Amino acid sequence: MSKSRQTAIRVNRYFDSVFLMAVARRLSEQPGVSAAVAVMGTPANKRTLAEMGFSERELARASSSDLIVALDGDEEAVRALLESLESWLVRPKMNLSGGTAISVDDALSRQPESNLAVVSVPGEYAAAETSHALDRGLSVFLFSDHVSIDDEIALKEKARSAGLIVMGPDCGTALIAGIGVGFANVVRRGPIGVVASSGTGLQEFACLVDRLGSGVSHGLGTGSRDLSDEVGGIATLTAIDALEADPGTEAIVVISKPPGAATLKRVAKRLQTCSKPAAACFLGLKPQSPSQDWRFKVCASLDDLALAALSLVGVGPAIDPAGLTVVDLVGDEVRRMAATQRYLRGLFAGGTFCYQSQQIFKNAGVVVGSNAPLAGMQRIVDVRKSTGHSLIDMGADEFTVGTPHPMIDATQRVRRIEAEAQDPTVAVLLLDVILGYNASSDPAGDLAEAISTAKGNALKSGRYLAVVASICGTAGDPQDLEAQERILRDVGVAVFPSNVQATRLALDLVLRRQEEGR
Amino acid sequence: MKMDLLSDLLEKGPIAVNLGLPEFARSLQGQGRDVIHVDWAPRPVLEAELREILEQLL
Repeated sequence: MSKSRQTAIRVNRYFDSVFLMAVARRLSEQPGVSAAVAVMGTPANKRTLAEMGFSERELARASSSDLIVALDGDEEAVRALLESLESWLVRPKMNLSGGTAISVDDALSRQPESNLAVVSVPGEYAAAETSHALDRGLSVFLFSDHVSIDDEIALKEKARSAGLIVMGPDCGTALIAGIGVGFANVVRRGPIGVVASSGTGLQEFACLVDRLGSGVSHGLGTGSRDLSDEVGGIATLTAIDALEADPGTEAIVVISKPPGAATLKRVAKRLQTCSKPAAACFLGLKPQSPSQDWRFKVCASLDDLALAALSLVGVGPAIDPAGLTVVDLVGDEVRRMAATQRYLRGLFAGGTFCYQSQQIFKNAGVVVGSNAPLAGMQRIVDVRKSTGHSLIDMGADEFTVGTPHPMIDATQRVRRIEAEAQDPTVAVLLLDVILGYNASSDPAGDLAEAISTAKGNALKSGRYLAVVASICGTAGDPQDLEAQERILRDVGVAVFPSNVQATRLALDLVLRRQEEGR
Repeated sequence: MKMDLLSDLLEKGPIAVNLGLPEFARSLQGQGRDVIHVDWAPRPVLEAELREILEQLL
């Protein structure tokens, strides 16, 4: 049967990326189809399609507001699917009690008490929509990325002067008065206020606080660049002001990757003068490195920060923190490995977890490669192929152009697990599983079959593959935390309630293998 | 710094206008919040001739 590679363009037809990824996945599952892509005709998407071998001349016809569906497969199958394309583009009904509106102004005329715009439109349109929402008196949760730094600064300054906040761009998570916005867990309300430039950092911290028996008043995301010296922490400072004034917040914590030097000083100065006790975790920054005499506690990890936060509000952990330390699985796991097995491969959905794991390995003097390397770690040459110890952020741009984020769809991570498991030098796989609103409905189940197969194939080859995972979630999450833990344990995964603990076990396994190899 | 609007958001919780991914609106409604979804789309790209006519009309 002859092969065909064809594109269909629908002019001025806009669909959101999550819907289009679902369409592409369903198309790719049809008989005779080897690849299917459904994207808007942005320059980046057209470049990706051209690299896949689709006709540049055809693609050039599409603009950013046009839909492109590209199919590769048997000629007859491709032709039939493109002829019936409209039937694949029927969107599910929204069924919202508030209904749908044609514009922000229309929405506000029907719901004048609105106080938040949740913006996840493509980046090139996000600044204008955010600016308009601010003009109409709305704070903004800005999920969109690819917003210019100049626009980010202008929007945040505009918000601050109007008594509003822009959480973002590239903001994945917020918890406002117990309500999760974006990718968020069901977390008990409590006295701890959080300001975070890292979405999964906020999720992990909130879940740990919940597991330890306390809760979060509000968790305000700021966007990943907020603490850069370019942006200067505008949203972080606004959020600290708001939490200081909030009667339900007794202590404030700040979570971020290393801030710019000038911004770190500014945020530290603000926390020093805060009328409420405070703590911070600047991942990648040594707690003892600041020369300043800070009166707030600086923690090395999110786990330490959770315990410090409980201490600040005078709450003892509901469970023994010692129970959060790594149990001695090391000997059992290592004893079963073959002599060739030495390396760790970490495959993360959450960028902060990739970062925090690197920090733990760095502190132990073990150099790893990564596509998002911490200072002192190695940048890997080919992100599609691991060598040595490597920790990969699979939510990074190089993995998510035109494909779903691994928190939503595990397809890419499953393939990578299969590939890593075939490498006879691999001893340990380190994974994260993230529960909560808008994440996959069964994130552990998505990975379980691949893990089981990988471990089984290793055994057949005379090896033993250790798999270690952390679950970021709470008992209230829609995915059922206990069930998710059980799914992983049933396929032989060592499961931990935090990335720190999972990483420490992975590190112990690697160090033991190093010792035995000498 | 005036903070009335942000304080109102923290006190009342989100009453949202959602532009973009419908899933975000659904999860807010699933948590019992009022939310209106804007059926957002980029401005259509018009043929040059049509755009010129529209600009003259407007």
